[in-house]
Order: sequence, then C-alpha cells, then structure tokens
Amino acid sequence: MSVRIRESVYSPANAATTLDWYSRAVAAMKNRAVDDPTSWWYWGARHGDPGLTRPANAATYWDQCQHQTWFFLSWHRGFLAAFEATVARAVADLGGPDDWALPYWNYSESLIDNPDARKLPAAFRDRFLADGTDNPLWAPRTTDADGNVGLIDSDVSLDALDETVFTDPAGFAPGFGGPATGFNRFGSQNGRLESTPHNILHVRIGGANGWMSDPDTAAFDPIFWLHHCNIDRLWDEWLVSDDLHLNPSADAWTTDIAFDLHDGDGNPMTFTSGETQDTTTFMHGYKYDSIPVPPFSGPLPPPTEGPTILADLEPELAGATEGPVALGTGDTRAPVRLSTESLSKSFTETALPTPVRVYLRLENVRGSGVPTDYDVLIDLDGDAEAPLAVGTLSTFGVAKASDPDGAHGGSGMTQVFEITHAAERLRLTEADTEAVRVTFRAREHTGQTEAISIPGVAAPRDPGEASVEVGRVAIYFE
Amino acid sequence: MTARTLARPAASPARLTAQPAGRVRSALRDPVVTLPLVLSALAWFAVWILMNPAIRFDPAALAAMAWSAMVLAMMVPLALPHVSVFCTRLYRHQRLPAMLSVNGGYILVWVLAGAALVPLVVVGRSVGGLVPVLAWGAALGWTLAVTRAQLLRRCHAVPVAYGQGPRLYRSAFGYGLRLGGLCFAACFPAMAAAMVSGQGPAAMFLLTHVLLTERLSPRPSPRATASALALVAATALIA
Repeated sequence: MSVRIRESVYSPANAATTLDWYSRAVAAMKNRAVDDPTSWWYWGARHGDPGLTRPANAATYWDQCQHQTWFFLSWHRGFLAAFEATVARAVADLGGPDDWALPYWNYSESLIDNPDARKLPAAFRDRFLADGTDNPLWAPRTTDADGNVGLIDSDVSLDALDETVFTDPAGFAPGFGGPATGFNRFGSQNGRLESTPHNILHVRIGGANGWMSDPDTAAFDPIFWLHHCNIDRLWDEWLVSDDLHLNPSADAWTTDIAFDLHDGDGNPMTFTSGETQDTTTFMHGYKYDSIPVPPFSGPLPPPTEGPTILADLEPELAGATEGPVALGTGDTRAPVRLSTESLSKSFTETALPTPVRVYLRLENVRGSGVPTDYDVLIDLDGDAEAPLAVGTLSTFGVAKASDPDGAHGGSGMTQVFEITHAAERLRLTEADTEAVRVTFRAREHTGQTEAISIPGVAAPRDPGEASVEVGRVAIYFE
Repeated sequence: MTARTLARPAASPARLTAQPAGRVRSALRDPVVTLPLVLSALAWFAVWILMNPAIRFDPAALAAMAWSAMVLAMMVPLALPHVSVFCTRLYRHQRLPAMLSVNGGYILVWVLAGAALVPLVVVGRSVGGLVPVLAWGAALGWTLAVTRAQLLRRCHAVPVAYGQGPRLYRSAFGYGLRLGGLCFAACFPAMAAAMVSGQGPAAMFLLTHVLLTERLSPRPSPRATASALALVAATALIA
C-alpha cells in the first residue's frame, strides 16, 4: 500500500470528508473502555493521565510524553503515527476509506491565502451537532463563536525554521529540536519549535480551564492531533529547507532510548527516534502534501556523541537579576544589571573579541496551576524608546516542570531567546550600558470556558492558583 | 558612539562541527571539572593505601581517614555533573570559588554523617555472621524503593545563584549541603554494605561505577541498578 498523504485541514480537496470520518472514528473510540489501548481515553493518557482508572500496564504506557528535550519531535511523531493507525482502523471498520490520514492545521499560513488560517476549524467549534447530539470533535476551549482563539502573528511565527542546528552542541541555545537529555517528560529547556508555535497554541486554545493547556488533558482534545500533525510537518519543512539542517546522529538520540506504544490494532510496539526519520517507511508510512519529497538523510553517520560534562562553545554570563521574579497579571519589570567589570575580566580576554550572539535566558521558571503566557520585551532602564519584543514565555507544562518528583527535581524549565539584533539596537555590548529592563506582559485569553472533567475522572481538575516565577533573568554573550 | 555590528552567521561552522569529544577535551581544561577529578584520583590512591591490611595505625583515626578518603574518591565524581551546571551559570571568575563552596558543603555532609554512622558500620563488620548479608539486602531493597528514586530526581534540581561575593558563595555552600544530604540518603546504604562486608578499593571502585552509571543513564532504572549492585554484593559475600 502506498504511503498516506497528510493534507491541510483547510484543503478543499477532501478536508470535509477527512474530518467527517475523523469525527465518526473519535466517537467510536470514545465508546471503548479506558483500558482498551485503542480507546480515546487510553490514547489521551499516553500523553498525560488526568486521573483515570489506571490499567495494570499504565506504568509502561501512560504519562510518556517527551517535552523540553531532543525527543520532543520524534516521540510525538511516533505517538501521532500510531494514533493515526488506530483512527484509520476505526474509519475502515466504519466503512470508510482505507487510506485515511491525519489532517494538519497550518495556523501559520498567510491570511491572504487563507483568511481562516488562525481560526479553529469549523468542525471543532460547536458543542452539539445539527441533530442535537454531542459533537465528538468538541472540547472545552477559549474560542469565540467564529473560532478565534486570539492568535496573533507572533504566536504562529515560523522563526524556528531559521534555526541552524537541531540541538545546540554547547547545550546552551535552544536549537530547533531541543536540548540533549535522557527520557524527559518536563523540566529542561524548550527547543525553538516546541516553544513557538507549539507551546503557545496549547495555552491559547486551552486558556485557564480548557484541556489543551494542561499536558495531562491536552491529548483528549481532538484538535491536539491536528496541531501536532502540523508541528510534525514543520520538522520535515525544516529538514528540507537547508542541506545543513540535520537530525542528531548520536546513538543517544537515534537508538539508545526505545519508547513504548501500541499500534493501530492495539498490539504493543516500541520505536526509536532513528526509526522515525523516514516517514515513508515508519509504521504505515506517510508524507505531507506540502512536502512532495520527504527528507531522509540516508544511512546514518557513525555515532559521535559520548557523555557530556561541559560544553565547548560556552556563552558567558553578562548580567542577571539579583533574585527571582514573580510574574503578575499586568506588566512585571525585572532590572538586569550588566556586569561590565566581569566581562572585562573574562569574556573579552578569553573568547572572541566581540560577541556574535546575545541571549536572554529565563532560568528555573517555576509555577503552579494553569498560568497564562507572557510576552517578553527588553529596553534600557529610563530611556524613552518603546521596549523591543523578543518573544513569548509560554507556560505550557510549567507546573509539571515544577514538580519536586519530576525528572529534574522541580527546578522548573528554562526559556532562551536569542536577542542579538535587539542587543545591537540597544547597544548592550558597548560596555557602557549597565541597566537593562526586561518586561513580562501577561497575555489575556480570548474567552473563558467552563471547567469540564474528562469522562471517567470524578471531577474537573483543580489545578490550583496560577502562579509563575522566573528563577533568574540572565543575559549571556557568546 | 556608534553601535558595534554584531555579525550573526547563518550557520556557524564551529557550532555545526563541534563534537562531544572536543567538548570533553574542553571540559577537561576547565578547573571546575579537572580539580574535582584530580582530587578524586588522589583520594583513590589514599584509599588504596589506607585499606592495605599491612597498615598499622590507631583504628579510629584510620577509620576516619579511610572514610574521608572514600567520600572524596567516590562521591565527588557523582556530584560533578550537577556542580558543573551550577558553576557554568556564573561569571567566569566566580566559578572556581563557587565550585569549592559547593563541594565544601557537599563533603561536609558526608563526613559529618559518616562520623555518626560509620561506627555502627565498624561494629557490624566486627560482628560478622549474617550482618553483611543483611546489609546488602537492605541496600538492594533501598535501591528499589520509590523514596530513593525521588531523592535521586531531587538531586537533579540545580538552583540558580544570585549576586556576588559572600552572598553567592554562601548560596553555593548551601546548595552543596542540600546536594550532600540528598546524595547521602540515596547512596549511603550501598556504601555501608560494601564497608560492612570488608570490601577493598577494587569493590569500592566497582560500586562507584554502578552509582555513576545510574546518575548518567538517559533513563535510570532502579531494577538495573539493583541488578548491578547484586553482582557487587555476590562478589563481596563470596569473596
């Protein structure tokens, strides 16, 4: 059988048919028992368990999602492909086509080409169908009646595709695909694609009470799969956009960790990141309509990675806040003093004569509840110029990353923005600027949705009071 | 003053070609990494000398010296990944004193806790009989305990440091105390079992290897660690 073709949800060719079968398959999967590996509930709990009755094999298959790690893209690719196989089997059992493939939601598409690109696709908006029955594709979200979730251009920016490396060898910059880690659910550093648009979409759609903004409920929302299908497509877009864009070749990424799933028939399977690279041969095989020739780098080069203690290319601290910064509901300002004395002692004597990159690093970001996102801006303390926007701090998963029993002991997550151009405009590297001001501007949600529990969970989750604290705001020169 | 142009390479060749082997070589030029490793190597030499049965010395003093040497030899490398992350977030001139501060707190916990508990180990060793078997059984049981897994995860939490001078180094020392406490709680039973069964430097080196492998594993498995420890225990008890 030929590979499946994943098309845009807004593709006029067959989107309506694809979504109609998706809806019917979702309804069928929702009627299956929680402990059935092909049920909707079991699939959602693989990403995160909101408190369902756990089957005996839950320790192996539930709560497995990989975030803030170089496995983020490959784990979700395997997760998506096996889910697609399960839905496709349900579609075929219902009498549908035998080549059903997940559609993707390209919210970054030009509004000139598609004015509705930023809107939630219509099939997902209404709670009830025309006949008064439940819409299987509905979930609690923050959309208004027209499907707006408050996305602005910067939320769906594809700047991540300009990133040159998948994983920063120095272990400092975010890289396209995230930092080298072991098995890692939460609590490290976001890769650029994971940060934007991935994380932002989750929080924009889910808001304070919706399922998408909490990793333990996100995959129970049918739009989750179209969102991640688009993220998966963007991985391939990055690979084909430049010959220098390469996946990691180290054994630590390609083969050392095998992930557990069930295939479309509910049989146990494992996969490694290396196996996911060629989408046309991974599981049933698929490709995207926007990428006629999928990337595949051929035979893998010999492994080169080993234990890493410290990095070679090491950005140096230029200045930091004198304490943690608790983020509020409006603007929160954090002064960062640049230590020109320290730089003269270290950076200028030991590294390049002038920094080629400047980074703003938000370290040990911890929080609770389901907080909103924050736009991050920088300017000079006391100047009259408008602050410069450098990115968005998304809080998706921050509570997980703050769990003391998490993989990193609750030290939170780290978000890095490259601010080289902003630093140039503000003349931060002139060594005559000591006071930089970083502003965190809370985003407001488009709408609110009532708290609705996942079926099978006794009550809506009480995530507790939302709070976010940035452990340290630091500026580094490289 | 005109703004200096900051070149932004489209694809920095250095970034694209930097390999971990080079990174390790680079790390080995950093005193934050090399000093603890050299200290550990010297301590292993001291352990080898102090555990020689031919050594004649005051038993209490010998035990204290052997314990201190073992802490330096075995435990400083275990803390190195965390300590190096802590230090790389500081200004370069702060890194070495900060490393010494963290390790100072870390070693202090081990030495003081050892002073309280090692006498019990010495008594257990003198009693002999089933005591070594029970000690290894307890160590294996602890390795599989959920609480120990939680302690190890908390070891991964590396705090940020603030400020300059004494404030910074007090903070670094405090981090060392916390890390030492977590590490002691997680690893002391295995170390005590090895001591009770009268193991020499080779077995201690093997034990360090097992614990370090566990720390560096991409997906730590208590069962795998317990299996490796069981092999060490079997070797110790048969020998």
